[in-house]
Amino acid sequence: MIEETVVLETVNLGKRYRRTWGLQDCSLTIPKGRVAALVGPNGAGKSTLLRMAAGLDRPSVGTLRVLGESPTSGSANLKERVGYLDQERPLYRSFRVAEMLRYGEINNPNWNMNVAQEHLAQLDIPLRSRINNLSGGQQAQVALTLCLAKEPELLLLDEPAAALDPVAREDLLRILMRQVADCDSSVLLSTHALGDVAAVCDYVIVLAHSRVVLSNDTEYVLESHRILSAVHDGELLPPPGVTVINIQSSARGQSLLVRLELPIDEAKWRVERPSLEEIVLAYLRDGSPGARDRLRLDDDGNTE
Amino acid sequence: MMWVVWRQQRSIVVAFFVVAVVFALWLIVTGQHQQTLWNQFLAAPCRGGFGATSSDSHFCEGLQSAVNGSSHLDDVATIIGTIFAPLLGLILGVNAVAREIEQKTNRLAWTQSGSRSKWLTSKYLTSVATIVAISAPLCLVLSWWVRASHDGARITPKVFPVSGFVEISYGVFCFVLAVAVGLVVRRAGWSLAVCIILFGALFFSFANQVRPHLVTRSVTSQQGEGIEEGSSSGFYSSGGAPSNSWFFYQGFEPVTTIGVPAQALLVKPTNALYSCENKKLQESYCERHLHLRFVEVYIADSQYWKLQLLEGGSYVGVAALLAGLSFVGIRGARA
Repeated sequence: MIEETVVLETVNLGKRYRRTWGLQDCSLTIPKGRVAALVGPNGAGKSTLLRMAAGLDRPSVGTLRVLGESPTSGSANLKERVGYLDQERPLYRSFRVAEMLRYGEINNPNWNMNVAQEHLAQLDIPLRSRINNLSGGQQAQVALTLCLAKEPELLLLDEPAAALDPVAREDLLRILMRQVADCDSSVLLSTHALGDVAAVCDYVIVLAHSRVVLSNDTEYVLESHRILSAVHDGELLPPPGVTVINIQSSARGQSLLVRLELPIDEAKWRVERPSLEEIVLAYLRDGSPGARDRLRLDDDGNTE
Repeated sequence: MMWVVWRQQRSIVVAFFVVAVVFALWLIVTGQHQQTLWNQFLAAPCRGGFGATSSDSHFCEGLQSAVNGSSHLDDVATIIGTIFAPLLGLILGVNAVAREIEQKTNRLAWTQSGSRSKWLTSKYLTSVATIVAISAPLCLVLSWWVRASHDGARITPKVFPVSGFVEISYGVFCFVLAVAVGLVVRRAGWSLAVCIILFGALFFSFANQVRPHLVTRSVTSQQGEGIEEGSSSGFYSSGGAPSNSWFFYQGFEPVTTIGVPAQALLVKPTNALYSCENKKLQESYCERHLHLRFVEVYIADSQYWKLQLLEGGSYVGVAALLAGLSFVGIRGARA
């Protein structure tokens, strides 16, 4: 039984497209009230996971629970509680903006027309405009408005800020944050913009090669990772109790991005706090399955 | 949901409605003109028609020429009338599902509160109502035009599809077919192409292979030429079959034959009769001598509504089956 504080839980979830896996062995839990970022290179399985969570695709293996229900059940109750923004931002191109809002109102019992109209008014998007005549950024805002006005408990956003200019991106993130604050919504968003992750997300999931390589609170992730640089030349062996995520070489020597499990003797190492962006990039660079465990050393300094 | 479907297909419906109105007006104008010509041609002094005692006057020749000269217009009207409802059904069907999948708007629709089945139901109800609303009045005009233009008996293959209500069933079937194909093909253009091929093949196969066997064929063995002078139709049999029948084949059979003879069984006796006639003997003598009689096989006009019902019912029945499969298929369809 899933606790009510979990909005999304997957266990060994996988999606197979003919001969290739779109997502594999995906096990993660997203607590309620978080703004979770789903990060990974193209083809890592981000959109696949979001589509399955939205009930658009069926998992090939494993289990998936969204707000305590299986999305494949097609439950109307679950659909009312989940807002999904597709990567393609599908809208009816021949409709006017006002007609798209009417579409949302007809299809959603919890629809808040005031919220929708206020959002669009703030963004100077006229209700009489045809969707086809709006810019890409405005279309993205209309699509997001359709999600937000449902006032869902969980927002699933597939690259909501992609292809937006910096101002539109900031507007979008601002609106998103206000929604989270006003409606106590949880958010799972996929993004390539690591700056956005640090700015708005308090939970991070990194997908690489169709598998989850990191999934935790942003704060914990920041606290549990360090960049180690050798104080003296020739000191290459990492200290015991750490897992090496990535090794960076430069003219000044090598530095390791590691996950900590024990305190480090700082006399031997120069220790720096990495940014979230550095941590995520390190996982993405060396995110093949099991790669991060290859350089895990035990307390005696032996490779496990 | 109905509003959404209507809003999506509004421009298509308006375009087809305008075409239907223009086509209906054209049918009314040309039909009245044709009717006037025929009425003049069939009445005195010409008393036209097959085997009638037609006058050779310039007036009658001119009338006959005018009546015959409009046949190309009849062909155009018949073709437009035949394809109108199916084309409307196909375009609405492709727009309803394949285009949504192609433009990925189904992802928007399928993540709203309603179920996929509800979404599909609204498409079916709205589109079928639209097809019926536009096609039914046009069918009435076409049925009148078939009678007025004397373009053939209403039961014959050329005008059967454009008279009565069977045209509406083609439209409904084509819509359901396009929905089902769209779920599989997922591309609007390709779905339309596949549906045109499928429906075309079915339409011609049904007309040639199935329709002739839907009702019992009749046979008449009346000897001599049964001529109905000045009949109100331009389509007649040359033997004893009643006027406005759908005539299949004719020939000679042994007088002891019971029931409707197969066409192949008439070949041998008919050849025997021709051999007899080649010996400079009279046909009536040959018939008596060889114990043969002249027969015609046909479906009478009285079977017209039964045929309409059976053919229309068949298309609607297959459409219902396809709709059921679509409802099952859409539940697991990839978005």
